[in-house]
Amino acid sequence: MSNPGRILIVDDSRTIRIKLKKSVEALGHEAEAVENGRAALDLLAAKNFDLVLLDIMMPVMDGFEVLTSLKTSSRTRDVPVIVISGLDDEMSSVVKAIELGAEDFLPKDFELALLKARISTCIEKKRLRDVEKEYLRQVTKLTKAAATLESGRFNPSKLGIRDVAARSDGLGKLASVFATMAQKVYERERKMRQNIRTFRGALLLLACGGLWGLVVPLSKMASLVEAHPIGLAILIDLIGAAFCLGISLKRGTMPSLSALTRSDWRFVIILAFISSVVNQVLVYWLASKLPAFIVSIVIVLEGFAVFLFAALMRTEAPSMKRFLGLGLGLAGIVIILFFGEPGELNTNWLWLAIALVIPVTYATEDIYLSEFKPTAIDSVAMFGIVLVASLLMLIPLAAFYADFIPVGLLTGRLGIIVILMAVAGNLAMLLFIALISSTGAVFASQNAYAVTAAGIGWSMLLLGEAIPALTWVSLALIVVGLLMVEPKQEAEEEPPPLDDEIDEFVPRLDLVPLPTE
Amino acid sequence: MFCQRRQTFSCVGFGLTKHKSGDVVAIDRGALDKLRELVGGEEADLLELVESFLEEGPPIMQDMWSSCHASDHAAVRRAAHSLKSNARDMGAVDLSQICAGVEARCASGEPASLAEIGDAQRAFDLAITELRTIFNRGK
Repeated sequence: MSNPGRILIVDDSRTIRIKLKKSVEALGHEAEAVENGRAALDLLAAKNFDLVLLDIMMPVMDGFEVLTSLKTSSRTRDVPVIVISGLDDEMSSVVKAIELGAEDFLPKDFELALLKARISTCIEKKRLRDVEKEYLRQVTKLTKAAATLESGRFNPSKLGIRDVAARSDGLGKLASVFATMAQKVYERERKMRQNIRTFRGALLLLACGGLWGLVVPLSKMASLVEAHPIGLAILIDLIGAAFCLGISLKRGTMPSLSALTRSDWRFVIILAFISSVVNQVLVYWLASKLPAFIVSIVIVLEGFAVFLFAALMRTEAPSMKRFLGLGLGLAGIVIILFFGEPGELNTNWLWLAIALVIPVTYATEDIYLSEFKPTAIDSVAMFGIVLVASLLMLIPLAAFYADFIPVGLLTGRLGIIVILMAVAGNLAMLLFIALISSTGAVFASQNAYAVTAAGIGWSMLLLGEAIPALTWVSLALIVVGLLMVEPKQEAEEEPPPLDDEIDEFVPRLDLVPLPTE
Repeated sequence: MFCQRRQTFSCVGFGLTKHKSGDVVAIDRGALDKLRELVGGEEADLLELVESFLEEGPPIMQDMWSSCHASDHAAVRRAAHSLKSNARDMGAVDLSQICAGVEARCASGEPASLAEIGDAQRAFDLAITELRTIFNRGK
């Protein structure tokens, strides 16, 4: 037997089942036998068969019911059925079975030659139908892939037409050409989307940096009135918290505090500590000890630290281009520090060394935000809650160091400075959260360059600090470095699922001849 | 072995098989030969089928009786149908013909008579006795 098939025998008589099974096996086919219609349907749902030999008169579920059920299921409707019947007295039953979709009939006292002929004919037809169905299925896959391509959001490696393209006929050629074209379109569109994201990210980053850059000279101005780094942080967080929570309540995006999970609270507490208690107080404190533009310049090292953290944690792919971009930015800073004649630097090396902690803690904040920010909570509401948590940490600290700003001072120049710092700092933080969510920690950390540039600019404008000419060359290097560190690569698109009918159909591919045959 | 034995029998008409001595026999051995060829020609496979019939037949016969007493014509018809096919395969021509008659009667809506079931029982007893003798299968 060159082309054996798998045959299911359904008969309530054990002796007949044995007879049919042995006869079928004698012809070289595989056979399984069950005693009623229910068992047959269960087996057909679990396994593939090329033919069913079906008795009509059976208890539990007769042959007509089995036929009706088989022909209504897309999985089994193409499995041929031969009804087993006595020619003498059951002709009306045979006619009814054929009307219900049976392929043929076999008398119970059949001859071996007749059994062989009917089985061969049915299996041949079934296999031709399988080939046809497989062809149609692949045409449908190709059509679906084309529709997906038209929608513009696809991943060429997941279009699911690899098997179609492997065919050696015209359909295979069509699929192959289609797959190549799809790859080209995908690359082009992906590049375009990446450029848009880079441009949008750069704008957001510059806005964010411009605002944050204002904070350092303003904190310097505040320290010139009277240095209260913790008190200053409290007031700024208080204004920020009122603003964010007010907005969230008005927009209805404020989550119920009881709905926050344990990990949400952990995020709030850790971010409040890093962002407000450490970073904010450190910057305000150092601004009173160093020129504002120096603090701004040190902040730029944040990008380098974030890149190293992200590479070590493997959260973003390190690449030579990104590394060079960061190196270029760092070179700009080195030029400023060692050749920029910053004047006061000579006498403040200790404070400068302490200031180097800032980029490390900023980088920690960036990575933490990028990796652990709860996606289910609105960013503004979450930041408001973080600021409240910050206040709860800062107030005891301020009480301990007696660092509250006297109310009398707030009525004058310091009050205006505090309000400006609150607006700039908190708005910058909100923009930064949006930036880091869409572009990743490494790209967002380039914000530090913008902060530095803006800090230098604001320092010149507000404090009249003299900036050496070489600083501008350094800033140019920083900007080029920024452009080289692109946003993180977008995740691959998931292809749309194939429709149910295609998924349900499971052809016996091992039985289907190759397309060339 | 069985082929040699069947040479002492001859077919003398549809449903009636006579030994050369003139005794009426219940089993057409030609049908058994055909059955053996159908399942691949192995004596062991034929024996398996005969044993299955010897095991399966009595409960079906019993079912025909009880269904007739209960006037369950559909059940009588099913039992007669099943026994008819098996009997034909085993060469029990008389039994097969009687069962076909019972089945046809039930199919037409008439009740099967106890006399017909009695005929079937007698033909059945003869057939299984002879099968046991042929294949050395005691009770």
